Amino acid sequence: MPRLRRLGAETFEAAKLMLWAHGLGRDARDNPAGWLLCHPQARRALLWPQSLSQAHEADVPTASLRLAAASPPSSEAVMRLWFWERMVARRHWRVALREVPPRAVLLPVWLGYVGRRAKAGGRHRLVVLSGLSGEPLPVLKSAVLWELGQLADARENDASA
Amino acid sequence: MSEFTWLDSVVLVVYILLVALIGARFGRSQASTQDYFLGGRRIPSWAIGLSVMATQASAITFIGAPGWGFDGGLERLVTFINVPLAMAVLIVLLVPVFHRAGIYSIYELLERRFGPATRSVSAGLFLIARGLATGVVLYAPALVLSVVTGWSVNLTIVVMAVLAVSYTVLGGISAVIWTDVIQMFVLWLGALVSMGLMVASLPGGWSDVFAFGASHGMFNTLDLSLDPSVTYSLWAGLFGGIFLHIAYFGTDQSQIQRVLTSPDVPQGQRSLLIGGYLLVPQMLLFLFIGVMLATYYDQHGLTAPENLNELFPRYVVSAFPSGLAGLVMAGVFAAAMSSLDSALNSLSAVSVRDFYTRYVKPEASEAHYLKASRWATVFWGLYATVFAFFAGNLGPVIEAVNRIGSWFYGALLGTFLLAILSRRTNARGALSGLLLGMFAVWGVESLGDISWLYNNLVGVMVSLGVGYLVSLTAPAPSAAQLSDVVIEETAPDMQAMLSTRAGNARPVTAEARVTRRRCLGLVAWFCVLLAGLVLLQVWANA
Repeated sequence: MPRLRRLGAETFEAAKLMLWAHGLGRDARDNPAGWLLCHPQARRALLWPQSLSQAHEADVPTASLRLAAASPPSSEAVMRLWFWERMVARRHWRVALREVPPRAVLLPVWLGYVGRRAKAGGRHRLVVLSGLSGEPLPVLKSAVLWELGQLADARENDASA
Repeated sequence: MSEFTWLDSVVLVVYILLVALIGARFGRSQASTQDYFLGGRRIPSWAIGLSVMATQASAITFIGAPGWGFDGGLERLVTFINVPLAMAVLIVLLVPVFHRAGIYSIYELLERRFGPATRSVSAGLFLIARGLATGVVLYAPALVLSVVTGWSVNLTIVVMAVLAVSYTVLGGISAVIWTDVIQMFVLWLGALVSMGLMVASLPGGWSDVFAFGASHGMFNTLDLSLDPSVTYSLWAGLFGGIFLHIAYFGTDQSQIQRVLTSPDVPQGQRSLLIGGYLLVPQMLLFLFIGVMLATYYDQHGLTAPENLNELFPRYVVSAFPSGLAGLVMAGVFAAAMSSLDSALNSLSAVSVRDFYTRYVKPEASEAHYLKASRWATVFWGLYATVFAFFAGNLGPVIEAVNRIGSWFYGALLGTFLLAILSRRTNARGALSGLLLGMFAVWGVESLGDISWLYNNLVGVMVSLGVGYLVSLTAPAPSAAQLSDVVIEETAPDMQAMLSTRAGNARPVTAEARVTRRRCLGLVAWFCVLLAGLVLLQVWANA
């Protein structure tokens, strides 16, 4: 909450965003050493060094908002996302992306809404924070925006039906 | 008249050894280029902020600014009056994009956005401009020490270069920042002691200084002339100077690299606040020393040296008691080291990240790149040394550095602004804007008679205009190329959706928005500084 305030959010809600986890490298037990969390609408991927189960144990209130409308990203898109991550950190350059089907993960996030002056011609802004660490996750913003747009479209369709 | 005694030498040598030891200590724990260039992204914001301050208060400022103050009083303060506003722009616009991109060299961002050619040209220009400026940074303190020690200037340059290169090679950016923190205090101590001694040597003390300054128009800082050829008019300082400082602090790797060492974006932003608030008072301090020197020279019937850069060191040698001269010389050393080390580390970062790892040896171990980075530091030390031998012919030192930068940095800033603010700009436009922006600055400087402070403004405007228009002749960039800089939430449908969701979401309890408050604070500080200068000028002319 303090971080949401610091980032200027006036209102907020909890949500869970569905991402697809692709294994990276292998540890001593031949399990993936890390995970690349992808979304077809995200500009960048998230690198996840821990066990995937931690993503489900977050201290986020039961999120009524479930953002899970997207289908898994194509393999080309995943390769591109992984390429960008390796560009950013050269130590990852030799790590291989495992050729196994991805796992769907629900990542808890806090959505903060900024825009006190929106009525006076200003803009609304969305802030996405990790529900696990509280860190801002700007790389997931476009994914969240797309999911929210899908949700709004679905509600409109339901109302018109 | 005092001379540089053994006690002075002891003070100076102890200081140099202390800095070298601290630098060496940081070298032991470095295992990768991330440690060497970004300090493992673990450096706190206050240390980064003080380091930025120390670099700005380089030996050139320490020596050159008193010469400015002696010659023109506080008139050149308008060059720096815009720094709080420039820092606010950096905090809002550039730092979040650079930090979130996870880059070592800011020119990496240009490759992601515009392709490899723009990155290579920008990085190459930085190497040329900063390399030349580093030579000047080396020359200025060497000049001072040659006055004090009686050595030849060239020998002094070599001695200083060896010292600076060796501890930068050992310690990387961590040593640069932490030694800067120490040097910042030594530097200020040297300046304040100088002021105290000078005031004590005047019969009337402070009142003599203010009376002399007021009677000679030295407190007239605000020239409202609209003539663009007036170098230090308020408008040149505001409209030209703000682009100069955004470009310097935002697109010069030697400055912005330190912000990238912070653990996260808010800490990176916070580090710039220190400079935003203190850089103008710091420049005022050094200019005021010049006014005090003018008073001192007038009262003692002394003749100023032909080269005003020698003014302050000559005064130190002739007037300071034994031991204190060593302390002030340690301050000069501190200033020189704090500028040299950061320049050498950033030159090495750009050489290795933007050229060596891409064109020479793309697939090598981290240990190899770390070794290459250290050798690159040595190379740039040699380059700066050779250039420093010729720096004496470049005119007043401090202006020479700013002139070299102003040929390049305006166009570079325009290219970064296009990368961040324009979705339509593509590689063809960016490169055209960059090259024509520089050409325009060169043309204006060669043919026109306008203040050099406007150079960056010309560079930015031409780069933005040409970059955008030429981009229209080629397809728009793909979504992937825009991924690091564009936020899609500004689209009308997204705004409508966000408005609905924000209206239904739970409120966050009220608290001031920190980033906005910080920027408003800097704007308020700028207004306070401007009002202070107006009051000073009104009082001096009353």
